[in-house]
Amino acid sequence: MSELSAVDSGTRVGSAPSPLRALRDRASTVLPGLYAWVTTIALPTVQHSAKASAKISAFCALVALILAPLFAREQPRLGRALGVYVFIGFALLTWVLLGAPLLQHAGDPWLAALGGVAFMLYALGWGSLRRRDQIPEDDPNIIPGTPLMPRSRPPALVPAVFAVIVASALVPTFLAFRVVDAERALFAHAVALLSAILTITAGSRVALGLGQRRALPPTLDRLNAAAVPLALLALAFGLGFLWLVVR
Amino acid sequence: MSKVIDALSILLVLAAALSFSFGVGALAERRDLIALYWLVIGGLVLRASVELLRPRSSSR
Repeated sequence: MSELSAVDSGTRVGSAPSPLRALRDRASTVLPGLYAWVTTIALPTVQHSAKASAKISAFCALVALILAPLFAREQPRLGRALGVYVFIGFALLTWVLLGAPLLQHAGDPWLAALGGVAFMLYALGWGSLRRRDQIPEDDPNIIPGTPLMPRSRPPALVPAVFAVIVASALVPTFLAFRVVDAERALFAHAVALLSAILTITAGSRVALGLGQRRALPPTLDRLNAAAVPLALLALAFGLGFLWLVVR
Repeated sequence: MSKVIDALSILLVLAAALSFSFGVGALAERRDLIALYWLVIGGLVLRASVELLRPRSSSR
């Protein structure tokens, strides 16, 4: 049973591990969470004359972050509630309570960007990816029968292509932290997030499509289908060139 | 030829990410019109890459 399904059903999974082992097993979640907490919550709280309530809220966020892995295995619903809702809730409350000191804390843009990435890794850490040594067919709740075999295996190139696409999609997210003006910064972050989602979505389709060559239509059809956006692209480049010349 | 189209679609996705990066970079330099231009370019490039891979007419 995956942790997610365990969470959904609210059942207990296995015996309770020691706190140290629970933290070690959840290192991929706790470490990015700690980094995100230090860079985006603790530093603005400590370095400025923040309210006591903000400091208490930041401390509560840290407690929720540490406690969550201890319950993640034995009581997954409680663990997830602490790690996701309580931690993020106290983080948001801290930022709200900080108010002006948070805005005045320009800090290092790269530190803030890395904090954002750490929050992303923390969110991914609470996903329900299967462990490498775990075999789904060994699960006692699996539907009995002949295991279904994949129709085809993706080429070895696919993970590398997808990794490059994901890395390139994250570049605007980092660049958004260079925007200084508050209004432009908000717009830049929204645009960066949207572009990252769009690029990763399209990139995943492109990367996975490499392994499905048979299902693809003829080359001419593919080129014809892309004719409209490519023509608009050429028009946009032409207008841009014209604007450069006129200016 | 199919491999060339596949490679082109990958390059277009990377070009879209680059265009979005230029757009956000232009926002940092307070050049809003340039930023908008690059963001539109990025959207068009991304659309072209998806169409190259899986044309809409053949979708089920």
